[in-house]
Amino acid sequence: MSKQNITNASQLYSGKGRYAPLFGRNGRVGSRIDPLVKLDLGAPIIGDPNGMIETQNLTSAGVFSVDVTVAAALIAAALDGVCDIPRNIVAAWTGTAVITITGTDEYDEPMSEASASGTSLTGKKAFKTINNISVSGDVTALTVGTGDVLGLPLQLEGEYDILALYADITEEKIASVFVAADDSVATTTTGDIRGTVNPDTVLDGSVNFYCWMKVKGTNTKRELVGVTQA
Amino acid sequence: MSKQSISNAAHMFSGKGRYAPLFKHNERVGSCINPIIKVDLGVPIAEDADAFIVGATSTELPDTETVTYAFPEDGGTSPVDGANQSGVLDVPRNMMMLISHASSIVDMTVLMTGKDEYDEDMSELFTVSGGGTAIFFVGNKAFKKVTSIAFTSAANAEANTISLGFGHWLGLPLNLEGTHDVLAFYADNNEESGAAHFPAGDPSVATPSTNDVRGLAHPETTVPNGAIHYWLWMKVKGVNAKEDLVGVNQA
Repeated sequence: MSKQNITNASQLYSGKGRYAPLFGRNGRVGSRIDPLVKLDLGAPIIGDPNGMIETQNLTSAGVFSVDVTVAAALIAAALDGVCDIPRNIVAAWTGTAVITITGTDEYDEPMSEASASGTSLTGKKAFKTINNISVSGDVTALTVGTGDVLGLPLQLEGEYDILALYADITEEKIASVFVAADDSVATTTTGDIRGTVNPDTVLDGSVNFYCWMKVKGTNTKRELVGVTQA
Repeated sequence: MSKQSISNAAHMFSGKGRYAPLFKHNERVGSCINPIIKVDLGVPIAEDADAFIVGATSTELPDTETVTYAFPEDGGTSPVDGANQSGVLDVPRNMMMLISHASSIVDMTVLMTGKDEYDEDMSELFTVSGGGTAIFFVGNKAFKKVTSIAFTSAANAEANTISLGFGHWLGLPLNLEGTHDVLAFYADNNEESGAAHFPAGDPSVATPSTNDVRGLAHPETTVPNGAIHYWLWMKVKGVNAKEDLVGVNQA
């Protein structure tokens, strides 16, 4: 498959139509172009709420009741610490505590997310792998797994930059839930650095999702793939 | 911010796939590309039915004559004492007028003159006829500035009452060929192209009675209120001729 970069510019224009007031505004003849990208989000399986940790107790010292270490506990669970596609993490437990999930994103960058003090987490960030789970206080009946919020590989500035979301051949951008990238300095409690989508159609491992969107920008790393993970 | 024109061609293609019947049609290998643009329509304030003319009546209206109000020169004096006395609009948008009479509206014309967003002179004419006690006019052109409003009547129209202001139909900076060239319309994060309306740019020679030279976007579900940001994804009618790009000359 051949590939070519057609430009290094931030803004593209096409055509030679010249109208002085418009040229004065743009500095270029013709019209500006806003390129789109068609993202293949794959055919994700349905969220698995205990796919990472299957009901164990966990101490603040990091000891799991059944498998002792986090590595062993992850291997013992259905997903083996790896998500099929980047997606959010969900967790539930007994005993008030803050849970912190550590792993990597789809570009293998280290990342982490922490819950509020409580007994559950519905994560906002898209993880590709999980390699550590810790709690601020001892908890029991801990389950950790995947949700149905899918990560985007490129930065979404706002929902107004979504042109279409297809679940196979069904267009559902209005019924789906998009969250734009959080471009503040990343912490364990900020949102996803590129943005996410929770499709309206139930994930079942066979429905393929495609998203047509405009990337926030293409001339800096930060505009392209978001701020540095925390 | 760096900028680059990638082509002066009217049609662009990408790829090297060759299929003889398609090549015969396109005269190019690969596939045609249709560039689209995301248009920022801003955060327009709510419409104001009497922003420019507030209840003009009696000697403020013509008696077998033309009565003209200039903006901003006549601002501050009735009937040019509404919310907008400068004539300058926040974004290009249409005009609207309500005319009433206790028993039967007297025929008259209302000529609005001003500028579009590129500072080109333009005008729009409302023709009042047919009697009745109240008629509401909605303009089809987007003004960025109003410079004068002229009321003309061949009879005594002083018993009419007129209020004139601006609506919520937003002007486009580039020429829209038709609704089929609208990809999406956002009011903040809400996509509403299905409910909104998109009159195309009028390609006929412009007169005070034709439609907007570039086209309009009519929000319907979420109307402007000074806090909602509107975005329109569209294909421009053409990029190689001024008329395709920004429409015919204004009248």
